[in-house]
Amino acid sequence: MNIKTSLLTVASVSAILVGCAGTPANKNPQFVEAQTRLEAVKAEANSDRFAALEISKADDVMKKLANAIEEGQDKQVIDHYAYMANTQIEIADETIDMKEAMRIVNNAEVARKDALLAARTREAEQAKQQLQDLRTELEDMQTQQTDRGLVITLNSILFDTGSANLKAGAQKELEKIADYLKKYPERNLVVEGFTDSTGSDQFNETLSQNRADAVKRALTAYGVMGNRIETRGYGEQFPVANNNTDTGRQLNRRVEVVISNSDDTRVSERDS
Amino acid sequence: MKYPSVLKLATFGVLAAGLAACSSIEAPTQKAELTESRIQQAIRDDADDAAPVYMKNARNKLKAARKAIEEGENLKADQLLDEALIAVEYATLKSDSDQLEKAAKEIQQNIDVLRGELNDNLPKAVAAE
Repeated sequence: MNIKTSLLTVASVSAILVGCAGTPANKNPQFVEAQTRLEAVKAEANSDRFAALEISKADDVMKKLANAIEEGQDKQVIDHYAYMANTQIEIADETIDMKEAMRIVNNAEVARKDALLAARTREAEQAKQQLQDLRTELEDMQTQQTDRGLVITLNSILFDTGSANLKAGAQKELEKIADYLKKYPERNLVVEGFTDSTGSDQFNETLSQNRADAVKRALTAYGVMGNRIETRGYGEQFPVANNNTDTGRQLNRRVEVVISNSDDTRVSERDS
Repeated sequence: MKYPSVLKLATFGVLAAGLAACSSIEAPTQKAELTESRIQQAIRDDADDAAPVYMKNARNKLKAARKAIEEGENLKADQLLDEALIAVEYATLKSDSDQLEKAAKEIQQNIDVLRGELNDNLPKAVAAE
């Protein structure tokens, strides 16, 4: 290139620059509008994780738009970049939504398991709480969770020998059971009486039935609905200990209260 | 160079004129074909339902770009095709996104139902233990 053309080039470029001096981009409503929208998209949750590329492209087009405005380019050029920028911003926004949806779809199985796990945890906590309640309510009483229900064993100390009358000390124990039953009004129960092998079968059966009935009366007196309570006298059947020793016989003289495991179900018959 | 400087100057003059008239590029016929095929694909992807305005924009801009090519306004045609392409890109994305969002919504509902059922059945489930 010779000096003449070089000078000419410089002159032409200068002329273009002077003739086309534009306004700052931040004074242009098209730019400001797009910039505001872009900032809103950037502020969305997970925007940088889900749409980094799309946002970077939008930034690039915004720069081109700013340059076009500042160079004072034709409206057609500015409109072109504004359209490109606005659409690219919408693409970024939609990409965030789509990736979020994709995450949910991909995590569906995890979410399902989480829900189950949360439910199981709650279940375990409730069961634990229930057990705690029971311990509080029925402390000092011998309880056992079985397939038939919650078994509370009241030992012979509640009754005088050969008598079906409850001792005064029995009231407190039965009151605790009644309070518990009132909290679970849909639960049914069976009161089962047992004796040791001393005495005739007939006598023992009658005595065990009378003791079971006495417990039922006491519970109804404490406000438990009588129709929830069945009573049975088993006599010397179903011993829990050896009848040849004093201790064993004492353990066999007992009343067991079986509380159903679920609402509105009858406690099943004893088979062992 | 073998050209005389007058010719050189003339060339420069033409070039400058071209710059003034928003510079000159080759006719973007391949880009027009690409745009056409993208629009056809987007139609198959149900983008007309998902983003009707953008699809309409894309078609109109392609049409205008073809006219601009015929009239030798290649730069304008190129810009219009870029706009058509980005419009069809958005429309296709919107279609995919809508489908995924629908699926996600259904999944969310299913999980909510599951949670509800688990909560409702909980006391009985515990009691049955």
